[in-house]
Order: sequence, then structure tokens, then C-alpha cells
Amino acid sequence: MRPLGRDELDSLYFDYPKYGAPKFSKEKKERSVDVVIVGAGPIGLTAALTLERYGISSVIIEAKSTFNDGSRAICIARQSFHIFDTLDVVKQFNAKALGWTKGRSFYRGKQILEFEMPDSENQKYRPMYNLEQQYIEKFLHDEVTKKPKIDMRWQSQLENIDIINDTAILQIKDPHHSYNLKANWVLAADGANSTIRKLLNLRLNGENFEGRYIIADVKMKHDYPTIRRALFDPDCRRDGTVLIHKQPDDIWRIDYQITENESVEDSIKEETVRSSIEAVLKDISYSGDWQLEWWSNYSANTLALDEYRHGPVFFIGDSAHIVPIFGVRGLNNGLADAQNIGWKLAFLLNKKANKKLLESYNSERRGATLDVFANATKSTRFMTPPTYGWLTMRDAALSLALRHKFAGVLANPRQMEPYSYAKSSITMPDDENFLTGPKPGTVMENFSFNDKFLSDMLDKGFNILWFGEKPKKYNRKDCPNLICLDPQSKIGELYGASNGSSYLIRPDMHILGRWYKTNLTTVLSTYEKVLNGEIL
Amino acid sequence: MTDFEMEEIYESLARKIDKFGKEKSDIFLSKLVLLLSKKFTDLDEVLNYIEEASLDLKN
Repeated sequence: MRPLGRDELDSLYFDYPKYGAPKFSKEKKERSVDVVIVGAGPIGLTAALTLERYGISSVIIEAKSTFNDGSRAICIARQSFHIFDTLDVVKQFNAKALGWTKGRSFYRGKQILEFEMPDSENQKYRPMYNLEQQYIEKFLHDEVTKKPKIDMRWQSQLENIDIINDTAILQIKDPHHSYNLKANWVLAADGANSTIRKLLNLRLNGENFEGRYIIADVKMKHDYPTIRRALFDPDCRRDGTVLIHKQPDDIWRIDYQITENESVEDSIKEETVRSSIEAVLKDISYSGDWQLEWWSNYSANTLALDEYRHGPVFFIGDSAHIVPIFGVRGLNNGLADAQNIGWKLAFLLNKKANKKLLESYNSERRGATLDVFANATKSTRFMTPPTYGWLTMRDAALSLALRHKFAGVLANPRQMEPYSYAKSSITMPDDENFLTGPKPGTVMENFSFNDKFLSDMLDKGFNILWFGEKPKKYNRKDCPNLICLDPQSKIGELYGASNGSSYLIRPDMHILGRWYKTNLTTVLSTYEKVLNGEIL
Repeated sequence: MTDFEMEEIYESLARKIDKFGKEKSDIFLSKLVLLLSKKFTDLDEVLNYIEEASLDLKN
């Protein structure tokens, strides 16, 4: 919502472009395609760019004529920056977004905890960045417009979908035509209120939490570093919680809990939002001018589809799962969904993989959602205790935390670590001869050489980290890219490697398997078996 | 005690307090303190913890 007198796209910092519907003929619009992506939010755009990276064309259908009306998702995790890196858009993100590593929690005005997220010189990107969602969409969309293989269709509404013999027939309406589009694969990236989900009669299942929040963006010249602040039971909001994030363009995100004696109806009114924000600003000793940019209400739900695949349709992002904000996993998990299905579908369409590879999408990404649920449920219980018991324990922990460090740890928000695919059907069991190093299923460890990072050496397909001498004969065609490393060096130590150790890395940087002492034939045969669907 | 174990204690207490509600949770928590006190041999140590827990309770 926007203040009275400003329409929904009248932003204080962002100029919304307006995109028209495609002008070409109905016949051209009806040409059947391999992949249709429904929704041009961050997830749909990322899916299209991921497919394009492997030479796969797609059509994106978007009902709106521009980017999201408000900011919503603002926290981008390190692994998402790596995704943007592979899509050649990370430069724009790096220039605009605010990186951060630190959070502070306060109880009744006193600091009880300062936490640091893991970071080191071996990391190319910071653990977290803040950036308004409109910019996320804009940077991705700018890249999409440069790609002839991506057919971006704004103002195109999905009216119906039929699935006949594993093919999807989408009925689409734009201001000029109503037409049918035949697609072999559909990626449903149409958000929390997904049209495809409704048309296919699928339901999200899970829990609705009581915790009610207002999220608001405010423009002000406030002098405070990019550190996430959590205020528990502050003067401005007794029995409530407030979260404060810095964003670019002097925009500040303020999330606050609607307490038990307040109603959502009243809390969402502009005058109530203004007085609530005024009180928060007083609490953080800001007395300058401020302008209200945008606000919305929010409740912490944990909802997901039971299956992320329905025939030729794959659900990615919020259409598949709605998670509480506290773990900052909504956007980040959606981006990982897009990358996951993106490379798998591309390998299939490029005839480098068997259809069976796609089966791992549901187990890997739904597993990631369930993991978020487990962690988010804990964070949500701490942020907005649902019952007397949780409230009593939360307040006891906060009160103790004023003098005892151990209790502050209970207030620590769950770290946003990428999910491990250890249990995935395409992840190899670990080689027990390794004493250290990253395990199969996890994201590979990055490493800084003098002039570049290990992640910069990765090819867009699979990669083998080979510890030992360069093999005399290695046929690159249709084989993973080979990166030869010294087992006696710092990176050898990081990977717990000996001479003849190797790691097989997936296109999304997750480790498919590792061997302590092996030859390339073993690694290559595993690679082939996975792509041929023999290991599933 | 690891952070993880501490969290388990936190959760199990929250569930018990919910089970007995506002009226009975005082008695439940007091019983728990008495039981845990039996683990100590030094009276002063327990009294110090009682003092420590009573800090920062006023609004």
C-alpha cells in the first residue's frame, strides 16, 4: 500500500517502466515451444536466464505490465549472488546492493547479542545483501531483454491450462489476442497466489501462524551501518518485536509485530502505520525527517505443495512454498529452485541427460523447503511466541541474556546456509577415507587464489576438482570440466585431499560425490550414470 | 551443555508450561528448581542462582 494521494507505482526511489504486450501476430504467438515460464518475478526471470545459459529458448508470460508494486523480498544470500554470477548479472547487483555480515538483538533497549555470519577472504561474496525487489527484477529483466532466445511477453494473462499426453496447452490472453500456446514443459513461477496452482486444483498444505506483522519501507537519512537490528519488547512496542534493515537509496525496512491488543484492520491504516513508525524511530534515536514509501501486512505461514511437479508443470518459488520471513529463505530458496530445474531441464533438452534426472527436482527442493520450515518454525516461535509457554520461555531467555551469553544464543536467528542435498538420490555416499573437507550434497567451498576465486574457474556444466598431476589424456567433449589442483596446497587442505582425490561438482555448485583416491574413469562413470538416470 | 541441547531444554519447558497453563506453571517450575537443587552440595551456590534469576524482572 502507498500513502494517500500516491498510486501503487508512485515510488520515492524507483521509476517503474511500463511494458506493452507483444505486438507480433497471433500465429507467431501460437508457435509451440519447449519451455513456457509463467511469471516474470525474480524466480521466473532467473529460470529463463539459466536455461538460456545452456542455449535453451523459453517464453515468459507475465500478466502485469511492470515490476512488483512494493519491495517485499530484500535479503539476498551469498549463494544467490553466485547464481547471479553465473547469469552475468552480478556486477549490477554488486554495485547497488548493501552487503552485510552482522546482526544485533536488543531486549528492552539493551543489546543482548551481536552475531557474525560466516565470512572469510576465501568468499567471493558476503553472506547477505540487502536490495529492493524492484531492482532485483530490473537487473534480471535488463539481461533478459538482451537475449534473443527469451521471448518476454508482458500483459499476457494465463486463462487456462490443459495437460494432454504430457504436453501443456496454455490459453493466454493479451490486449491484442487470445491464443493457445503448446509447451513441453511449464515452469510455474507465478507467486504465492499462483494461477496455475488454482487452475490445476492444487493446494498448499501446512501451518498458518498467528504472528502478524506490518512491513514498511521508509525513506530517511539515518546514520547506521548495514546491520540487521531486532528489537524485542522495546519501549515503542511492548510485547512486540521490531526488525530494522538498511536498503540502498536511503530506504529502511521496518517490520513490526502487531500485538495481541491491536487489530489487523486498524494496524494497516496509514495513520496507524505512521504513528507506529514514529515510535520505532524515537526508540532508535532518529529525529530527522522521514517519508513513508510503502507498506503491507504479513503473517508467518509455512505452506507448501505436496508435490512440486505435476506432469509437465514444475512449481518454482512462492507458487510451491510460502515460508516465514525470519530465515530470509523465500526469495533465496526460490532462486535455488529456478537454478535447480533450469540446469536439469537444459541437460535433458540438450540430450545430455535422461528424463529421470528431473525426478530429483522435487525431492531436493521440497526437502529444502521442509528444512526451512523446521528452522523457521523455531525462529518464528522466538520472534512471535504463539502461546503462553513459548512466550514465558522467550522472555526468560531474553531476560537472562542481559547478563548471560548462553541465553543470547537462543535469540540467534537461524543462519541462512544453503541446504545440503546429502539425501538426494543423485548424491553419492561419502567416501569415509576423507577426514575433513566439504561433504557430498553440500555447496563446494570457495577458495581465493591471488587473482581469482575457485568459483570463477567453474564451467557452466559439471566440474571435477582433481587433486594431483594433470592427466595426460582427457577428452573434454561431453565430459566435465577438469580443474587440477595441488593436494599439498592450502586448497588441498581445505578439501581434505590427498594425491588422487577428486570432487564432482554439479552446475549449481553442490557436490555430487567425492573420492579420496581414485582415477578419472570412476568419476566419469558416476557422472554418466547420474545423467543417464541409472543412479536414482 | 551444547547450544543445541540448551535449545531442547528451552523447547521442552515451553511445551510443559503450555500443558499446565498459567495457573499451574508456577508450581511446575518451582518443583523443577527444587529437584535440580538436589544436584548441588553447596547451599550458597543455589541461593546465588536464585538471586541471579531474580534480576532484570521489573518493567
